Amino acid sequence: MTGETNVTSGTVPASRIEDFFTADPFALARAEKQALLGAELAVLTQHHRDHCGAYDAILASYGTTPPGGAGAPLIPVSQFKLHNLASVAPAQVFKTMTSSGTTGQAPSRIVLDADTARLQTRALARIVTSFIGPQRLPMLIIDNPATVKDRRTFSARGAGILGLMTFGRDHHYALTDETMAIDWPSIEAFAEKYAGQSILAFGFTFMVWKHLLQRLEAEGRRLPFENAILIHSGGWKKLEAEKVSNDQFKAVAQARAGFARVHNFYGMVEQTGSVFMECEAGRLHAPLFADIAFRDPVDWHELPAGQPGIVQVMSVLPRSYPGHSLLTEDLGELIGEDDCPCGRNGRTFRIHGRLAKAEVRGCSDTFTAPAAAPSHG
Amino acid sequence: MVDPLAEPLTRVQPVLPAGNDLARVRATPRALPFDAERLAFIAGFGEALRRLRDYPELVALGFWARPANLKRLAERLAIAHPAAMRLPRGLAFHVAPANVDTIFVYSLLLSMLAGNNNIVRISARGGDQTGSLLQVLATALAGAPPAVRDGLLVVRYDHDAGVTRALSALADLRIVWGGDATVGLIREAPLAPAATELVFPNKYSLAVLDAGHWLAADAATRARLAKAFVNDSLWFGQAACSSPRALVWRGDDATVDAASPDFWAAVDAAAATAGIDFDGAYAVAKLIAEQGLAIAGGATILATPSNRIRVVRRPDLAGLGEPAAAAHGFFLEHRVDSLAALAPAARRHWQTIVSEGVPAADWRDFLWRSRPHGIDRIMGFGAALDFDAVWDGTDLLAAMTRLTAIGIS
Repeated sequence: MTGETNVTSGTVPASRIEDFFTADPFALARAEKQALLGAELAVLTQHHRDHCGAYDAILASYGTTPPGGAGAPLIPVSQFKLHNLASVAPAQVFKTMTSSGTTGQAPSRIVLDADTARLQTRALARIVTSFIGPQRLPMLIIDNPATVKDRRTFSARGAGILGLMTFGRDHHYALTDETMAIDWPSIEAFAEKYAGQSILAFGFTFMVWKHLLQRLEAEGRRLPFENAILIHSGGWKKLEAEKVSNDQFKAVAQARAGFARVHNFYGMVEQTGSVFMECEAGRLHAPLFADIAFRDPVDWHELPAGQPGIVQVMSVLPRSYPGHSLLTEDLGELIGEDDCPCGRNGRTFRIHGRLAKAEVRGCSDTFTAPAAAPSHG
Repeated sequence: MVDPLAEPLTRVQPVLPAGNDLARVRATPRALPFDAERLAFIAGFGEALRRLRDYPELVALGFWARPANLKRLAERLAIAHPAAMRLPRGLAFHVAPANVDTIFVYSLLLSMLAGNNNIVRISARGGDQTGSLLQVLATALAGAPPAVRDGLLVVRYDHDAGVTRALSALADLRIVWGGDATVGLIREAPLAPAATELVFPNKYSLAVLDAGHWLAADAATRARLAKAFVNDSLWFGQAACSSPRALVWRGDDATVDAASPDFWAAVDAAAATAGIDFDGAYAVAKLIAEQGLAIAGGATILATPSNRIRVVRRPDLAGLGEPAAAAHGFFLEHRVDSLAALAPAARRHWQTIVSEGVPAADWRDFLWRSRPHGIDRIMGFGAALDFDAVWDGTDLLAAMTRLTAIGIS
């Protein structure tokens, strides 16, 4: 599954998607990458205009220059919560991914055709193996087995685990069930089997911290792995609230479980596959399949390194839905491009967290809290 | 016999003034309209509000409450029915909104001027501004004569239909702020048969600007109008009922096409100069909203200088009056050849039209001919948020008092 299956994606004319799989995902320098990526994004913009009426209506309404530019216009990720945006006929939908929407909000609905799903799998494999190597290590999943049991419901968490599972073998789960209780028998069996060896672990950042690392600390336990790899994702919001820094997280992961290599990654269900992995130097990296930009909320102009802005993510993978250029609701900043001490090329960045929600004012809303905007004053 | 409405009243938590309670408010004699002691109290309260520089809304309320304005209101009220005697209705029960903290104070002060005694239910989750307002009110009440102090009680209670029913049963006049949902909820509590009610449900407001007028205006006039429009629309983040959510141009296509980019650029500049609160979340919300309207069809998204102001032009008036897709500087733009075209679109909940370049005579002619279901105010740019005792189509002081006709000489 991680190998090159060389499936052609003939559905998008003029697409050069296979070129993205021949180069190393972190090899190309700026000029080369921009030429390849820029052209592919423009091809996708036209493809989605041709196949998604709503997307075309949006761009037509802007005339010549949509926010973000004509090549990769900005579509807010929330549009996938509010509208059905698809560039394929219902019969071609292979599966539908849903995000775990915030309370009270509809979840994102991302439709995947077989082609897009395959590209996602292949791109993820190229990116992840470039960090952890091609071998499949024994794998500890820091979650409970129920999360992936029902494969018809692809929650963001379940999909994330399923996506990463392919990079390991002999999967064990660290948690028992939805109560998130730690599964000592499962962990002990796994630890006994692979003591002194390298293993791969994956989980969502907060769950790794709260339900594994903190439990190990509380009970004074250590896991006996050597040079183990931990991949985690899902955001720092909850850890920030607990004043846990990335360095602290890594130190505890190393001390308690032998995780010598800890890779956070930034990704979202709206752009599955082309994830942004954290390198040994602690920077998040844009792979060849993707790019990142930081936009000034005042006029959407792109901000230079060091200036925090709203995160725009671009990916050459989405063919079945117009999600190749998205404005997120995250804040972050560019660190640099082609200049990371780790030696990988491409843009590097950090994420600062979520955009604050707008305060609702108005003099409606005395006894109830209607979802619609207030209106009296 | 046990009064079934008495028990819930024990759940009412008095807030202000210190030591007052429901029994005393009910026992306090009503005042005459524009009673001297109450006028003096309101003047002092207004003066204290004008010192709260951090809260422009409270300062504005303080200006409204200055003696000269109150005198104007008294004179206006006295003109009608000089042969009748104007008296208070009795006990007023006010339901204040949760998240704009000041507007209910206008109707409270009017009801005090009308001579009524007043019970005000405030929300438990008021912001800083409510805190400051209540502090100033507490200080003012502490120095007020007993006849004024005893006739007012600010209360809190949890969402409790039983309490609302009990207070409603006591009231001669119920005043409800807070939008359609709140009005509906409060109306489930019946009033006494002879009692009456003033409600302030959801409203919609817009601007009407003559395109030729804009183009003919000099630079200084344009800047002044743009600033006034910013004050009208962005002061409360465009959430006030009287803040315009749409601009309707009067003029032909060519004139409007010439005026529109210039107007919005001027508004954008005025918003930047005024230092109106801007947040990334607002910009994202506006982007989501403009694209949503594009998907709905027929929209043109205008290229404004910045995300402080975003404008979506729509080909017809059908969307006018619908709940806003976004706020904080998000506008729909429409064009009409003449005011008459507005008539079929005007709906019952239309409140304020701020208008420039359209003579009052044109508006009177429009109202006279079309008799629209809505439209409560037609004001110049910059006056959208000016509260007046004639509000939402009603002379509030007249509604808060009653007339005793005297048919003998």
